[in-house]
Amino acid sequence: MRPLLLAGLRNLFRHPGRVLQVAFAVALGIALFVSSYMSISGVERSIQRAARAVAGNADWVVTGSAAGGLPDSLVDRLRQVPGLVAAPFVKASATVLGPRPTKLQIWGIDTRSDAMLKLFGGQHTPDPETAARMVLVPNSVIVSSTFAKDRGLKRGSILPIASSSGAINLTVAGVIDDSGITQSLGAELGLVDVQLAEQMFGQPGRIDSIQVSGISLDRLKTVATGYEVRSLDELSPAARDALLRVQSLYGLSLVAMLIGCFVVFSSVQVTILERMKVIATLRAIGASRVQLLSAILLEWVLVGFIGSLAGVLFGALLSSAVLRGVTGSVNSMLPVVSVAHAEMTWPTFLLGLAIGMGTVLAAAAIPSFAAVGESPLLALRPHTYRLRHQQLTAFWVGVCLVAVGLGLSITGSYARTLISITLTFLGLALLMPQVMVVSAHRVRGTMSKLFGYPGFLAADNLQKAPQRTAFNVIALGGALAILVSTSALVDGFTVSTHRWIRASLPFDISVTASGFGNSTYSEETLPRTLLQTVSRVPGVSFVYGVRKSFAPFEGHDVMVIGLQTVPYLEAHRRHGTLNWAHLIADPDNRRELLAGHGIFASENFLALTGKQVGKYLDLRTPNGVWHVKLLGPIEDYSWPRGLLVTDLDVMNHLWRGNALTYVDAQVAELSQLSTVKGRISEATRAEYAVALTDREQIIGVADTVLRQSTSAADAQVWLASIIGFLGIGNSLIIGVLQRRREIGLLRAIGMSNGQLQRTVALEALLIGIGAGLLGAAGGLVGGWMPLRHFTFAVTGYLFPCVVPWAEMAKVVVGAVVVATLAAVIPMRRAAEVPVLTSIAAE
Amino acid sequence: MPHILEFENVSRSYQEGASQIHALRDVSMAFSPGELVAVVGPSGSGKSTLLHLAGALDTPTSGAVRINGQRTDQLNEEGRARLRLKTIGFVFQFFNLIPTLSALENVAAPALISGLRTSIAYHEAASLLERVGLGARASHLPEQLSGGEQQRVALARALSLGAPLLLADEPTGNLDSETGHQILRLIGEFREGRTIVIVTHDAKAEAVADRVIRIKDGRVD
Repeated sequence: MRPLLLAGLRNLFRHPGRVLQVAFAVALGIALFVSSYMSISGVERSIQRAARAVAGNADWVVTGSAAGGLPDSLVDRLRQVPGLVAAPFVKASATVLGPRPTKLQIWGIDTRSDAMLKLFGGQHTPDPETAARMVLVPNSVIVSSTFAKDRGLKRGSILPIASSSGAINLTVAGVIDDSGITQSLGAELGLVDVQLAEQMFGQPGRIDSIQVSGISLDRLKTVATGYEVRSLDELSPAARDALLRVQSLYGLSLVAMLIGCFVVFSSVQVTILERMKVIATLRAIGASRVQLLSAILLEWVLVGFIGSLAGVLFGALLSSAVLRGVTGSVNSMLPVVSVAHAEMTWPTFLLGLAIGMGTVLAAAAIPSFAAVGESPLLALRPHTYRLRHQQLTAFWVGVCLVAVGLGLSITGSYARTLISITLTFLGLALLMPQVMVVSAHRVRGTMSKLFGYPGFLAADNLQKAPQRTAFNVIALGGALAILVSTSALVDGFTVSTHRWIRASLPFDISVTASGFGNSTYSEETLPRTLLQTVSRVPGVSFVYGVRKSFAPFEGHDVMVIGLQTVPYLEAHRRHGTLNWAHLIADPDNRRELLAGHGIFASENFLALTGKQVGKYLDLRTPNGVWHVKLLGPIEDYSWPRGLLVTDLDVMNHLWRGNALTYVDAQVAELSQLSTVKGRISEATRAEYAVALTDREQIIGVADTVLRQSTSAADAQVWLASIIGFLGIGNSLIIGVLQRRREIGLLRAIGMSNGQLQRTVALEALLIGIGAGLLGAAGGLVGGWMPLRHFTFAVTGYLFPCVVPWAEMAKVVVGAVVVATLAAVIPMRRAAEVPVLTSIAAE
Repeated sequence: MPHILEFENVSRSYQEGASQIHALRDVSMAFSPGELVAVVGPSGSGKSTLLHLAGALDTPTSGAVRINGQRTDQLNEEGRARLRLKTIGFVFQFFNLIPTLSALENVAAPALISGLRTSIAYHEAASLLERVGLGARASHLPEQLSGGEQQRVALARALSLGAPLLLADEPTGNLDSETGHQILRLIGEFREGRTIVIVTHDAKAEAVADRVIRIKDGRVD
C-alpha cells in the first residue's frame, strides 16, 4: 500500500490548488462549528462562574421565583438539619448618589452566621474583624477595593445610596479584594447585612436565594419542598432559555459542513477522474480494491486533517467575533454575562479535528468506492462514458427524505431540527439530479434561442451530468436559503414588533433603573417616589407606573407585570391607541383584574403552555400560590416564555413591596421630547440614577437585539457561500475534465474558443440561477417555515409571513455572480484543452 | 482549376524529451476538387500528421499548407477554427461522436455552431441521416449505436455544412471488413464536388481512390 499512498500524495502535491480548496472547505465548516461551540460554551461557563462567584463554596441553591424570593424562615428550617450550612442571600442594584450617580450591586449576606464565612471563603470573604464591625455598626457596607479606590472611600466613610425603598446613608465598614469577582459580575460590589438589604429593597422577611452545602440534593429537596433546588453548576431556567436562542448557530455549522461535504465529494471525484487510468492499471497489475480504497481514503483524510487543524485554529480566531453576537443575544434575556470569553479546550480541539476528518472521510468514500468498484477493463478502454439516464428512484427516495426532514422540523425540538436539516440536505442531494435532468431539458430550447449553440450545450451538459450540478446547486442554494429564511423571519418579527410597540406602549418616555439596551429584562427597580418626581416635570402631561417580576411556571420563568390599571387606560385614551387595552377596559374584566381574580396572558404564553382563556392557572408568588383566571389574550413580544398582566396593587400585594420597574411618561403636546428628557434626568438626579428611553429608542433596542441574534448567522452564511463558490468551480472543472475529448472534438469541427468559454460560463449561469431560485424558494418554504415553527415552539411567537423580496432578488443576483466568478478558471481550463491530443486515438 | 488543398515544402517536427521527431519532411502536394485520395503508409510514417496539417488542426514547422488558397499558419487559432467549420469535415477512426448528444444533435452540431437556426440545422441533419440510412436512429445516443452506425453519423456530421474538403482518418480502422466496405461506399457517394482525403491501411480504400499517396518516414514515397 505504501507505493500507492506515495503515488497518491505525489498527486496531491501536483495539485496544490485542489488540496487547498478541500482543506479550505473543511476548515470553514470546522471554523464555524468551533467558533459557535467555543462561544456558546464560553457564555455558559461565564454564567456558571457568575453563579459560583455569588455562591462561594456552596453546592446547591434554593430559590423561590426569579424575583419573588423566599421567606427568611426557610433558612432557619434548613439550619435545623445537622451538618447543613445555609447562607441567605439578597442581590439588587442601587444608585450611589452624588454629582455623578452610579450603579452599585448590593449583596445582602449573613455575616452573623459562621455558615456564611464557611461558604464564602477565599479572598472575597470579609475578615473576622470587618465582619464584626459590619454587625456592630448600623447600616454598614463593605465595598470592593476598586470601587473604594475610585471613590476615595475608607473605613468610616459615608456612602449615600438610593434603592427602590428610598435613600439611605451607609457607613463603610471595610474593603474586600475584588480581583476576579467584579469581572465575573461585570459590576462594582457592596456587601451589606441581609436584613438591611431586605429593608433597602422593600422585601422585609424575604430573601432571593439560599446557598447550601453539607447535604445531598435529594435530602435538600425534601427539606425545601415547594421551592426550586438545583446544583450551582446547573443552569437556571432563564439561562437555559437564553442559551437556546443562540444554539441555532450549530444548525448553521451543520449546513456549512454539509455544503463542505459536497465540495470534498466533487474534489475527490475530480482527482479520481484524472487518475482513473492509473487506478485501473494498478487494479490490472494486481492491487486489491481494499488496498486502493485505503490509499485513496488515507490521502484525503490527511487533507482533512490539515483542513480541520486550520479550521480549529481559524475557529478560535473567529470565536471572539461570534462571541460578541452570542453574548449580546444572551444578555438581552439574562443581564449577567458581561465578560464572557471563549476558551479553547482539548475536547473542543479534538472534537473539531474528529468532525472535520470524519466529514472528509464520509464525502470521499462515495467516489472512492465507485472508482475501485469499476472494472479495470472498462476503465482502461478508450472513451468510456456512461450516461445515467434515470434518477427516478433516487428522486422519490429524496422526496420522502425531504418530507420527513420538513416534518421533523416543525416539531420544534432542537435535536430534531438538526436531524431535519441533515435529512433535508440528503433528500435534496437525491432528488435534485432528476430535477436537473427535467429542468435542463426544458430550458435547452430557450438557451439555444438566447445564446445559440453554447446555450444549448450548456443546458445539455447540465442535463447529462445532473448529479455533479445538483450538488452545487444545493450547496450554494442551501447557504442562500438560510439568508432568505432568516430575512423572512426577521422581517416578520420587525413588522410585528414595530406595530406592537407603537400600538401597545402609550408613553413617550420610559424611566427605568438601567438602560433598555443592556438590561431590557433586568430586575432592577425604582423607588415609588419617582412617580411623583416625574409627574411634576414641566412638559410631562401624564405618568403611570409598572412593576415587573418573574414567576416560575412549568419549568420556565414567566414575566409578570403589574400596571396601574386606571392610569394605564387613561394613557391609552390620551395616546389614541387601545390595542389589547380594550380588554382591560371591559367592566367585567377590569373588576376581575383589580380584585386579583383575573389576569391577562400573552399569546405566546397561551401557545407555549396550552392554557385557554377562561381557565385557571396556579402561579407561585412570594405570598403563596395564586389561583387566577385567564381573562384574555394580549399580543406581546417582551418575553419569549410569555407575559402575564395584572394590576399593580394586586402585584404589590402578592410580590410584596411597592417598587416600580418603569415609570412611563407622556409628553405634553407642545413640548419637545429631548427637552423633557433632559428635565426628567435633571429632576431625578438627586433621587436615583435612571435611564430614559423613548418609543423609537425601544424600537431601536428591539432591532439591535434582533441584529445581535442574527449577526453571527449572517457572517456564517457568507462563509458558507464561499464554500458554495468553491463547489461550483469544482463542478465546472470536473465538467471540463470529463469532456476533454468532446471539447477537443468541438474545437476540431470549428467551434471557437469564445464559443467554448461561453458554454462554460452559461453552464455556470444556469447553476447560479438554479441555486438562486433554490435559495429564494427553499429559504421561504424549506427554511422559513421550519424556522417559524421552531421559533413558535421555543417562544410561542407566530410571526406573519413577510416575503423579503429585496433579499430574494439579492440572493438570485448574488448566486449568479458567485457562479459566474467561479467559472473563470474552468473557462480558462476549457480553452487550454489541446485539440490534437484530446481527439487522438488511444 | 485552383487546388483546394496544397502542401508546399511542408515539414513538421516535434520535440519529444531530448530528441527531435521529424514527422513530415519537405512534403509538397496538391489536391483538386472532386478528387478522392488515399494516403497510405506504415505506422509512424507521418500520415496522421499530414491529416492534422490538412485539417488546420496543426501548423507546419516550415513550409506552407494552403486551404482554398489561405495559408493556415497565417491564421490565428480562431481563424483556423472558422476555416475548419466552413471548409473541412472530419471522420475519425474512433468516430469521436459527442456521447451526450443524440445522432441528430451530433450531426446538427457544426450547423448550430455556425449560427444556423435550430429548426433549419435539425431539418438538414435529419435529411443527412436519412441519406446515410439512419433516419430511424436519429434520437439514439452514440452508445446505443453500433460501430458502423456511429461512423455513418460521423460522416453525416462531417458533411453537415457541405464542407468541400472531407478528411477521414482510418475511417474503417475500427470496423469489421463488411461494415468498413459499406462506409467506403458511402464516402464515395458523397464525393461529387468535394475533395476527399482518406488516411488508411485498408486496401479497399486504395481501390476506390483516384490517387494513392504513399508516405514513408515523413516523406512522400
